[in-house]
Amino acid sequence: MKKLASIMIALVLAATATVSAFAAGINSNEQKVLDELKSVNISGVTISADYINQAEGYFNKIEMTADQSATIIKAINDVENYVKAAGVKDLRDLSLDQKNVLLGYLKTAGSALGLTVSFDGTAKLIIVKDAEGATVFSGSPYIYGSASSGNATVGDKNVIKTTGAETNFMGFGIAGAAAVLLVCGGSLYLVKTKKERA
Amino acid sequence: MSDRKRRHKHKRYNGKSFIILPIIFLLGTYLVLYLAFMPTVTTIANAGGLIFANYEKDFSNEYKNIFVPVSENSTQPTVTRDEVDDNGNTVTKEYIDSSSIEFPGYGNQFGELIIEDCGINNKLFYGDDDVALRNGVGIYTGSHLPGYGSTILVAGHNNTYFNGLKNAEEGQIVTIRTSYGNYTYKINHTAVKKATDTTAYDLSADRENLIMYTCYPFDELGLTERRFFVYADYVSGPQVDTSVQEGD
Repeated sequence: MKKLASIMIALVLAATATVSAFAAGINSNEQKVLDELKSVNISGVTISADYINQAEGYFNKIEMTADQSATIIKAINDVENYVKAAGVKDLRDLSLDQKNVLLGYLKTAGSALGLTVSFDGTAKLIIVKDAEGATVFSGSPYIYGSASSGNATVGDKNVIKTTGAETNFMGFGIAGAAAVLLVCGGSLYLVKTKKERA
Repeated sequence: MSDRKRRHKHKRYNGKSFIILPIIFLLGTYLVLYLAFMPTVTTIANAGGLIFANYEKDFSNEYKNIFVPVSENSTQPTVTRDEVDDNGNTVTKEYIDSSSIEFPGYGNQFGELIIEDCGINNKLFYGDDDVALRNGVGIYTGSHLPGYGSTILVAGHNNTYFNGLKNAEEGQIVTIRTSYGNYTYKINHTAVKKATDTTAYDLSADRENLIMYTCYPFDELGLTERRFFVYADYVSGPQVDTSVQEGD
């Protein structure tokens, strides 16, 4: 009986000790990464608030370790050093190969958190997905302002979305089919009447 | 009947001439036009949408819903901090413990946005992609969430979930309900600006404010370059503890 009581007490304690808690906001490792991003200045170009906010939003869902933070900060520094070494005055002048090198550094940073980074060349979108394949970031980088005047930022080109009338493709499909039938019917009518007239 | 007419009378009409060729011609022409003028496809599709009324379709399996309404008497875990106010006095402030909040993932429904005076009562998503705007209104992930002390930028379609914004006026109240608290904002002004106007918003603001927008004019079809912005000031709602936590 005593043993049973002990087991029951242990089970109750274990259950109450299992507190469901989410990632607790921004920890010191994540803050170091955010501070590094805010301090980036490559050829007069800094990172815009929207990109930093997106990083912060994602960090609110995870718990970054010191090692992960160090890997990401190294990747950020590698990007800065690479561009400086390339001697590019304007980031827009980077060649495709150079951009691919930068994308590689971005992939290194993402992989530290189990993220996959890809670039959709058609849509000009950088897409970041987590280990479950869910999208955590999707953006089209764009340089705003003038680097020579020191107020250029790289940020999302599509902050403001297209929010016009919603498309109804079913209606378009039916309208298109109706147009085809109209053309077929019209062709048949014209040819038949032409033959009869002849 | 002439010889010519007699000959043609017995000629069989070939289906290829009247059905297949017109279809091929139509599809080929459409393909060329589509590739050459891709942006205008949306306009054509929208015209088709005018002819046939939008039907109600259940898209709920497209997204994850983490919204659990906060009941009137419920309390959230809080932390207290001593801070110095503008007058130099030390005051004790209470914040929601961030570890008690399930921060939404990209594309999650995490709340509701209500403007009673405009007849707006929509699902609120974290993210403003096609799925979100097809099911409600969405917060741009480059902005902030309610309670985090900065700009909240919300998008919605002008012919569906944000059609009511055309009735937005100064003084009206906007309510945002989340799983961690209910927030109110008061509209202070509206403005029509270009979509590319970066002065329309400040994503690094250090005070909580709400910006909602949709395409303008409200009855415009296809792509528009202007947006109707509605600006609102924070009135009430619990603030989240955003202080840096210890890492390992």
